[in-house]
Amino acid sequence: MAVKNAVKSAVKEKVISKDFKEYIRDVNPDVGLDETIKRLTPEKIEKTIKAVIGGRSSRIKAVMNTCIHCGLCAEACQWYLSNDKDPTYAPVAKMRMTIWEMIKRNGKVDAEFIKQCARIVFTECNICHRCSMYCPYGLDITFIIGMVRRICFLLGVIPQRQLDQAQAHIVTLNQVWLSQNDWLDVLQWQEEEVGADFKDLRVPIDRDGAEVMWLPLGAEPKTGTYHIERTAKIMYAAGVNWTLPSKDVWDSSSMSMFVRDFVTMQRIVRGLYDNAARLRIKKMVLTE
Amino acid sequence: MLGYRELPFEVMQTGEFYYELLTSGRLKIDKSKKIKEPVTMQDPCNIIRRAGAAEKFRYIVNATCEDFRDMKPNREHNFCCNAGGGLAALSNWAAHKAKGNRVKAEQIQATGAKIVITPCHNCSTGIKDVIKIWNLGLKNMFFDQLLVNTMEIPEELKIV
Amino acid sequence: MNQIAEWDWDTKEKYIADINEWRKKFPVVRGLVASDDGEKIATVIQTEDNRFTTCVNGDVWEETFERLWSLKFTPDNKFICLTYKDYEWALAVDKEFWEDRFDSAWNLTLSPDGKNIAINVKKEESYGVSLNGNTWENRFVDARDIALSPDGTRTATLIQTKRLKEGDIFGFQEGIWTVAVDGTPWDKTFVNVWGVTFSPDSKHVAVEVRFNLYDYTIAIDGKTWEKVYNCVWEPLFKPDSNDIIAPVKTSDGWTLAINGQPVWDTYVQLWNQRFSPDGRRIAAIVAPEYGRWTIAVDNIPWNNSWSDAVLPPIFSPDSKRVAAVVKESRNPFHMESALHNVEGNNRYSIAVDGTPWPGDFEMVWDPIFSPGSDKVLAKVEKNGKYFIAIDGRIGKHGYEALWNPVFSPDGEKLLIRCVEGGRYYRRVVPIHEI
Repeated sequence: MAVKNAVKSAVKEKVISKDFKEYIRDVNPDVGLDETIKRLTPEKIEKTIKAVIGGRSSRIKAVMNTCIHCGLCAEACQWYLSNDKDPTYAPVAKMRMTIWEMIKRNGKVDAEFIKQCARIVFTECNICHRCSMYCPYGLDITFIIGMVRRICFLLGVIPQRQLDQAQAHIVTLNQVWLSQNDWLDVLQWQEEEVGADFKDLRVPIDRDGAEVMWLPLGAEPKTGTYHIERTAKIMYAAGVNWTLPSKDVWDSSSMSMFVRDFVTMQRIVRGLYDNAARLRIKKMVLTE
Repeated sequence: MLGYRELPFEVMQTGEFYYELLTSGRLKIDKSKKIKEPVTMQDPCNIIRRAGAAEKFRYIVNATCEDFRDMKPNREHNFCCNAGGGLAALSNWAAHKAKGNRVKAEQIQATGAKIVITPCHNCSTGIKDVIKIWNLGLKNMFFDQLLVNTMEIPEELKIV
Repeated sequence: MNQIAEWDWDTKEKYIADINEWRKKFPVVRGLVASDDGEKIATVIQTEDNRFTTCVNGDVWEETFERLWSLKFTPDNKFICLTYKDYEWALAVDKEFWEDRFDSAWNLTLSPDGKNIAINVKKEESYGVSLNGNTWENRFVDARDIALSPDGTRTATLIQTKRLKEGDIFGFQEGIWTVAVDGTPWDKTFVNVWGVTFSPDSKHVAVEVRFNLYDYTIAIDGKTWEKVYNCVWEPLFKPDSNDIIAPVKTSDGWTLAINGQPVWDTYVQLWNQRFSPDGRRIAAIVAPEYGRWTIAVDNIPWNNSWSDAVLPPIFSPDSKRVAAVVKESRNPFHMESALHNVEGNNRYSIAVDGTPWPGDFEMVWDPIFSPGSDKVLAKVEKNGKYFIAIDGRIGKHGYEALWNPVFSPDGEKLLIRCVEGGRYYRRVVPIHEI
């Protein structure tokens, strides 16, 4: 069944890649890509690429040599299928136009090239693993995409809203810049809200030895407090002894993982486990 | 990366936990409150590849909804919502993302469902964009919403 | 610790409060907090008019509030809590309020003797610290985490120095975070600072810092170590000195560095380093190989290791022994056992100098050494009840609720604070009767 194309088809300005003429896209302004590349130098780009690829260039070359360009990964990708089978959306093309080219040119690529890489890996791939699943050789395409994301992260070239969230994680260990007192205030406020309808309905903070520690997504206390309210009701109806931690880390999301900020990723996971150990809970339940 | 091979604590996604609450009888569903409109469900990429999660999620949907219709393909073969991998944050790329997921719009429309259930926040963002940009006219619901709408709450706990 | 000697170590049993009776009397009773000496038990109750107040040994405070939390007894037995009504937070010590009021108050922290109280506060849309009711005049855009010096006279918090416009990715990378000590920010700012701690003499402050998107090190009093690392964990001052040790990640793996110089072998992971009371020995959690956890003392890992987790090491008072909570999965090398609700998945125990107690428990709290360092005990959970276990032997009594037991100064008796049959008791029991 064909879906009626409701996307506004206003004439849009196009950008044509200077490295790959077949890569043509609508212009989509984003300071995280357009402005950040102005801070790059060829030396910094080369150094970063070499640092990330490091000893793994043989692994990448093995992928390059093993790939028989059969196109099964393309048929597995919703971006390719949804864009009228434009070959530049095929997972193999996403490798070819990014890291393979970096290796071929021995890291000597320009800022514009990095911007294009960032656009590909951050806005045209969801790291959903479907392509890897359909690859007859089981090539780990998403691992490669992740490496390109790591290179772009270290160069600071990431779409603005993703980088902003990743930076929120760096300091606040949650994705929405929530202050410590605001997190606590939301929980106490939610307890008042739902507590009005039921006898002693709790949103319990730091309950030692609880069965379940529930960890929301950062956006929930910010814009989706109804999730906390519903969770409290479900726990209440089921008679679950549950809790939320007063201290960082309580946000179960991790943009740091998506941009490959390894240190913040580790601080997030460690912080979640530290809370579990501190409160002596039996299991962690994560919304993400 | 931290050095763990085993998870130091038992970790579950909310859907897996709700499944446990339902099958253990701790949470009971009032059958008269089950959702009657046809529903479908987005299989979240990262969770669904975990053993058994796909069936557990279907158990929750069938327990709370009368008319569940699977997308095709589904389970681990399902297509991403296009908000995964950190793309959920990119609201200024919403049209690009939704346009890049015509496949999803077609999948959803083929089920004839009126509600798309999303077990994950990213999926919700992605599916809402797809519904909006492709004018599908469906609703989006979370597991917690399904449960709160259909679960039994003992009378003595309510404040009249 | 003189206070402990002054406690009542003679009365065998005191029946302090009937919690079940409270539950009948008040619409809602929320959580129980016991004093260190066991003489007092506090809770939050809901009053008839749908507001909340505290109840200590049955004594109900006539003032009522919209919110109450951070209930605590100080080591010298004062009862403190954070109270909220009419949009204002106030800290109460034995029902007396600090004069200052706050928009927010959190991270309630006590000095070791309990005589000094510090909290993070938000007031007039700016953030800072209040120490014993004296609120910093210098306040900031945001504040996270608090540290109180060991002598209880100084405070530090992590602060945001400039307001950021939404989505200002460049402003953030210029570095807008630093440490403020007694209200004065360090001159240098960083992309991020965390893990703030005072030196034993209360004169110096150290943190972990992040310079940019990829370089890390430790900073003391605003000055950073010369070397940068791929990652660092929390710094710790050596007792009676200004030396700092911190785990640092080099290209070979994790090691422990003193004042920036690596001094231990490298491990897959290394964190939660602790000094012995005499300051001569260091213990830390290490992963000698991927997926195995143990404690290393002075760079020598225990012979045994565990699959799931090892919690922070605890030294005996004589500095000679080390104990830690350890956790082994039921089915090693099989991820599924952790992902599914396998019965008996929570297998906790205590290891002392590398040797685990026989058997395991559903949960184990931190080990406690006797004053003579010869015995180790812990609160443990089995079949949903709480027990005391000593040197691996589980006690006879299971309780509905149990607080950490305390050794008498001579190590012969235990103070047990527990709930049995809905009643809270304070008991003094000879060790051999446990």
